[in-house]
Amino acid sequence: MKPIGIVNHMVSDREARLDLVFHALAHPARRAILRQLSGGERNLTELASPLRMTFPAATKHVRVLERARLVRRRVAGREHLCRLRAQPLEEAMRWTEQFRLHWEARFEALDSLLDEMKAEEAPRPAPRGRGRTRRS
Amino acid sequence: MTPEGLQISTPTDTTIVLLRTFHAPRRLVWTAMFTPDKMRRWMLPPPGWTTTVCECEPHVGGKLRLAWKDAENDPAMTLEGVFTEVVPHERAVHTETMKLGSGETIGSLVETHEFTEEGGVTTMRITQQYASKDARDGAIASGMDQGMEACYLQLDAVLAPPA
Repeated sequence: MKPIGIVNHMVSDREARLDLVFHALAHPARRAILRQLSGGERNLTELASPLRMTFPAATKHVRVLERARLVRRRVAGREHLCRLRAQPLEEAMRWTEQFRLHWEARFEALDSLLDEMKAEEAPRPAPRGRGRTRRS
Repeated sequence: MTPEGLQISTPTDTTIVLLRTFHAPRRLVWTAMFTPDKMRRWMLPPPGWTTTVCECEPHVGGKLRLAWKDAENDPAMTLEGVFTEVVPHERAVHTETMKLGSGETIGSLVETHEFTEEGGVTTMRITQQYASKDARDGAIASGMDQGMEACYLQLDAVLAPPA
């Protein structure tokens, strides 16, 4: 089942930002770019070549990453240098923590339910005291 | 064997696995998972949401139907699926398609539940398998709720060392 407990129709800046982050992460080329940047600053040509991508295509992906604030670009002479920004990723990871918490909450509810079901199925005899009648 | 907390992993690009143990025989866990009046107890809707439809027929060809409403929309969201594989108390596979109240599909996947029991403790493994990478990516783009699941995969892909 889906984690519907986390569905939130409220629009906030934070969520809009996270939307951009998840959108940015949804493309394999952009993930590849982020992986490259985790090794340090790179220029656009360095980012484009291992992806066998044209310069304009790489630029387009970098723009999406910039909008999500996952990448910061600076111009040094004729070079466009890109660097990874970790903070939005951390924020996104907190959402994954929400996913875990959501399921844990469901499973805790399931724990209680199972305790009840076990009790209903096999009422425990009174632990001590002879002659006591068992609850029906 | 003591019950473990929830474990979540992403063994492939298109799957999420949830692993959890319960202090109960698997027969009961199965009943709790697939009986509508029991499902309503643990399938907690978000605050302000109400579960309006909850139907589950855990046999091959049986349907799974859920719907929720909120203050503005009825339904706010629906979930429909069909059971494709059922070994009672052991294994159940069903499809699942989530739609917004507007009818827009926000994601499809196949969910497999596996139950093993040892000494009265049941381990349940839920495997969520997206139909395709496109379906998964589409789900991410269409909303946070879906992104939530998929972002595990995404973050994994980003943070893992290059293959």
